Amino acid sequence: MRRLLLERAVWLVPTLLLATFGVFWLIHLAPGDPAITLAGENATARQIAAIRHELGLDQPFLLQYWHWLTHAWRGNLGTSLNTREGVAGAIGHALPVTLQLVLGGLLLAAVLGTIAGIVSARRAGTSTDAAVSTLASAGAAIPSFWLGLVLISMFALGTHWFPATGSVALTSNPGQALRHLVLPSIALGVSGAAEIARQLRAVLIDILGSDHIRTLRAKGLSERRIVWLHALKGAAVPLMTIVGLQVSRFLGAAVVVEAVFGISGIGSLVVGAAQNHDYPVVEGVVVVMALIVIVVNFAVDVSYRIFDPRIR
Amino acid sequence: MVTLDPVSSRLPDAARGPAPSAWRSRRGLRQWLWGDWRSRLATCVLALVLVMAIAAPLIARYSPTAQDFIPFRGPSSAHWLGTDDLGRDVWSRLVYGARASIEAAGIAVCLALAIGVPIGLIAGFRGGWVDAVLMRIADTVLSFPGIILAIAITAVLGPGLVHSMLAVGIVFSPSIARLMRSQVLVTKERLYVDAAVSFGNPPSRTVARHIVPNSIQPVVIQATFMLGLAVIAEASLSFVGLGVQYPSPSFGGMLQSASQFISVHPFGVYPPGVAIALIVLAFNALGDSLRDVLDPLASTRRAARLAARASTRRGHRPEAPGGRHVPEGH
Repeated sequence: MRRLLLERAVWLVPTLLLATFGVFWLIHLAPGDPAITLAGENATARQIAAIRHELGLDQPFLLQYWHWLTHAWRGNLGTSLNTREGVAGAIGHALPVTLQLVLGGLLLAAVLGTIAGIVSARRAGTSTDAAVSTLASAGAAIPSFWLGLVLISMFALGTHWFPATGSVALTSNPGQALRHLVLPSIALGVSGAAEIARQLRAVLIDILGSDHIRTLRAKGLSERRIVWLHALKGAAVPLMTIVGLQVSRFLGAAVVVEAVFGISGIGSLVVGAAQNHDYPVVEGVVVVMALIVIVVNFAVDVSYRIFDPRIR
Repeated sequence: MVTLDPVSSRLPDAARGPAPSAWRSRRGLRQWLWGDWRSRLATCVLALVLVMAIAAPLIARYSPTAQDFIPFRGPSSAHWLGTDDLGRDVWSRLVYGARASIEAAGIAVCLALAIGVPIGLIAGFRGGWVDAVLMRIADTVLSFPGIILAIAITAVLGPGLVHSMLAVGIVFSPSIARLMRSQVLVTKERLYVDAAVSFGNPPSRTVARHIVPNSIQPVVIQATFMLGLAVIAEASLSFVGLGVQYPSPSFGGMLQSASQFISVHPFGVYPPGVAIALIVLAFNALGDSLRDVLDPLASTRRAARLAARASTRRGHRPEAPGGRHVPEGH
C-alpha cells in the first residue's frame, strides 16, 4: 500500500514539470517586453537593457525556465510587474479566501447532490424523480455567476438576510464569515449539486438492482439502511470521482463568482493581472491552481483504495 | 442505429458491422430534432436564437448602442425588455448579444474539434510512444481549471470575442482528443477494418472511410454539449471584461453593467441570464436526444461501465463518468 502510494506520488513530478513548462512557454509567447513595462515611460535603452539583464530576460529560454523553476521550488514565484510585490505573497493572501468559498460550495454540492441523487434513485420513474431531474438540468444550465446576481437581488438587497458583497476570514470571525459565505457558496454549489445528483442517480439505480442488494432485502434489512449504508458505500468510488472533478470546476467558476460578490480572492487577482499584462502573476496563479488540482486528483485516487480494497 | 435488431445488439461490439449511419437518414434527423417534447422545445429555442443571430438588424428594434432613451425603464410596448443604465434598448442588445454568443460557441467548438479530432485520431491509430506523449500532454492541460487557463491564454492573446473563444477552444480540445482516441482504439479492432486492410486499402483510405466515420459519433454528441458550455464560458469571460469588449453587446457584458446597478434596477439581471440558461438547456437537450438516436444502448452501457469501474478501477486518472462532462465551462 505504502509503496503504491509512493509510486503514484512520484508520477506527479512529470505532470507538474510539464504543466509548469507549458505555462512558462505560454507566458513567454506573450507580446510586449516586461522590461519596458517596468522601466517606465522615460527610460533610456540602457536602463531597459539593465532591467532585462536583472530579470534574466537576456538568457536563453530554457535557462530562464530553469531559473524560474528553481526559484518556484523555494517558494519564490517572481515579482508582480504592477505592484512590485512578490507573486507568492499575493497568492498567499488571496488563496485562503478562494479556498474558503470553494469548500463552502463543495460541501453544499456534496450534501445537496447526494440527497437529491438518493431521492430520485429510490423513486426512479415517479414524478418526484422527474421533478428532481428537471431541477438538476436547470441547475446545470444556469451560470453560477448569474445565480449569484439573482441571489443578491433576492436575499441581500430585497430582504437583507445576507450581506451582498465582501468576505471575512473564517479564522477572524467565524459567524460573520459564514454569513458572508452563504450566498456565494449556493451560487457556486448548485451546478455541482446538479451534476452529482444526475450521476449518483444513475450509479445508485444500477447498484440497487444488483444481486447483493437483493440479498440484503431478502434478509429483511430496512430500505433506509440498505440505501444509506450499503448502496451508498458501493457508490463511494464514482461519487468521489465526481466530487473530485467538481474541485477543478469550482476553482474556475469561483473566479467569476468572486467578481459578482466583490470578494478579493484568486479571481480578482488573476483577472486584474490578465487585464494589466501582469504576466508573472498570471503565471503564478495558473501554476498554483494546477498544483491544487493535481494534488486533489491524487487524493481522490488514494481514496479509491480506502473505499474499495479490491482496487490495487 | 435507430432500429435495433435483436440479434446484432446481443453480439459483442467488434462483431457488429459498421454502425448504420443514423444521422444521414432523414428519420434519424427527425427523431433527433423532433423526437419528444424536450427536443422539440430545444429545436424551437435554438431556431429562434439562430434567426435572432442571423437577422439581428431586422429583429432588433433599435441600435444596440444607441443611448437615446430614459435609463432603467421597465418593460413596455416601446421597449419590450426595458432600458439599461445608459438608456439603451435591452431587447435590441439581447438580439445582438445572441449573435455574439452563437458566434462564440461556434468558434470555440470548431477549434476544439480541429485540434482534438486529429490528435485523438493519431494517438489512437498510431499507439505506442506517440499515444503516450500526446495523452500525457492532454492530461496536463486537463489538470488546469478550464476558466483559469482560458484567462491566462486570453491574457497572452489579448482580450476580445475571438481571442477569448480561441482560448476556450484550446481548453476544450483535450477532452475531444481523449474521447476520439478511446473510440479509435475500439474501432480499429473491428472486423471490417481488418477486412479493409486485407483488401489492400492504404492506411489513409482505411482511416478516412472506416475509422473516422465509425468513431466520430460520440465526439459529435460531446461537441453538442460543449456548445452550451462555450456559451457559459463566453458570458463568464465577457462578465469579467476579457471577452466581448465594451460597448459591443454580449450576455456577459450586459450582466456586468446590470450587476453594477442591481440595487436600482434589479430587473436588468434577468433578460441576459434567462437567455443564457435557455440556450444552454436547449444545447443540452439536443445533445441528450442525439445520444439517444445514435446510441440507444448508451444508457445501459454507461451504467454497466460505472459499475465495472467501481470494482476494477486501477490507478489511472479518472475519466468523467456519464460521458457528458467536459472540463468546466462556468
